[in-house]
Amino acid sequence: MIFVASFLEAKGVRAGTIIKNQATLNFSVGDETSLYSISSNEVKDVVSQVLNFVLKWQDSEPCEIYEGAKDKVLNLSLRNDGNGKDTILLSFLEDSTLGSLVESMSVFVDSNKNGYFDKDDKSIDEINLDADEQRKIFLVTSLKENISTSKNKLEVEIKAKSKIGGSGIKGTVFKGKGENGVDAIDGVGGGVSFESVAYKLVTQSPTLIKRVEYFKKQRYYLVSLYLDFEGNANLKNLHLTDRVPRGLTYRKNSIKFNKKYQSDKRDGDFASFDFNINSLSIDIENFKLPNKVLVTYILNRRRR
Amino acid sequence: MKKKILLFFGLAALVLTVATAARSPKVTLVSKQFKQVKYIDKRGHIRYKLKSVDRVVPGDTIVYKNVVSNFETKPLKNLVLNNKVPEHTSYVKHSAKCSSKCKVLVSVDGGKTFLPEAKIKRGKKVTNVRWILLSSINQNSKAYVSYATKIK
Repeated sequence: MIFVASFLEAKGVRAGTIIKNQATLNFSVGDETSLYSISSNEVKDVVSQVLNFVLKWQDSEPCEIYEGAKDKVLNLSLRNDGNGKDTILLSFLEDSTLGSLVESMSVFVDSNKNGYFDKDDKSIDEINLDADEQRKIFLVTSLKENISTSKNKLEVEIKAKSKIGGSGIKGTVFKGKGENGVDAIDGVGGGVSFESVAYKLVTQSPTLIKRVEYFKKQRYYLVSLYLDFEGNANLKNLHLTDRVPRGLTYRKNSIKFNKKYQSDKRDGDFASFDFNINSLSIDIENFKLPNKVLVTYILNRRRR
Repeated sequence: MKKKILLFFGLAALVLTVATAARSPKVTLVSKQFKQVKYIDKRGHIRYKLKSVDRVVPGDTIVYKNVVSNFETKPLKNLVLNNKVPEHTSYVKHSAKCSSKCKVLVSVDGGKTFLPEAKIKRGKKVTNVRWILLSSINQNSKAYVSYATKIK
């Protein structure tokens, strides 16, 4: 016979609530005209505490992380689905096959309840939650420099466990350990909730190819800078410079960025040229895949 | 004179009634409780079983059974049992039953008025249950009524 423990799922009446039942009876005896009334004994039950949590990853897609990345955040929510107060212990387990890529990994609680990770949030390994209370928590990770892995994911399993119970087995009773001394029972998840989260491991290895063609007849050099990217991340704040070799001069207003002319001035466009130090400067704020960048400019031969 | 005679019989009847009502009839009403447990039998069918209550949690179904025992020498008649549905629980529809022929009525206004369960509008919360036993309980006999509630 298999018992179907459909209970232990629902949050509901607070632990410690007393439920009483009493009946009354009116009757007469034989042919007596009198009506009698009696009451039954009172049957009492004290509601036990059910230990249930729900830990849920809230990001729609994995956060990108790369070597040397600092404080990359994954968002989770933790809800006490039980019917009493509990302290929930939080721990995490990094995918061991990835070796020691991680420089630091911590769980933070949204202390100031603003919904996102910031400096006011505190690193925690346990949290007190009342019945039906929900809090946002963050997994914050920094990676080491110069890591090498063929994997493209950093998987982490986060575990929330009841401090009262948390046996992992539904229905396990902890006598007198619940709120105000009532019995506590591990709920459907055994007083434990697991959630697997993941970072997307991305590599950042931009390649820059410089090609110089000499046009003899016109006596100039066409310099082409091809910026490409082998990895799978979006780059930020890229800066590219190139100096003019001796014996050559930069031809004014010849810079093109992806075949579009740019002004020589340091202004709103991508490129500029510093005539004092004979240097070309390209600022690419965001390098979004699958874009490629082609920068060209012309160098004239100096006249002797 | 006629008036005096009537007054005498009236007073006598009143004294008799009070005297009768003042005695404690040898009748007991015992309330018991059981937990309804769902299980799957060997054929894979879902069945229910009553177990003694060790502890309760939200979502549990509790069956209350009120047992009337007659230790009088005469049968008990005009039996009406009333039971208020406990706070923090909700009455399980059509769960009120009796061991013998009876009429079940329920109230949705705290026991002011009672109606057959079929006449209760959808969504209304049953607050009280009433059983009107249509047969008597003989000497040294028992009868019971029962109903179920679900802990919110």
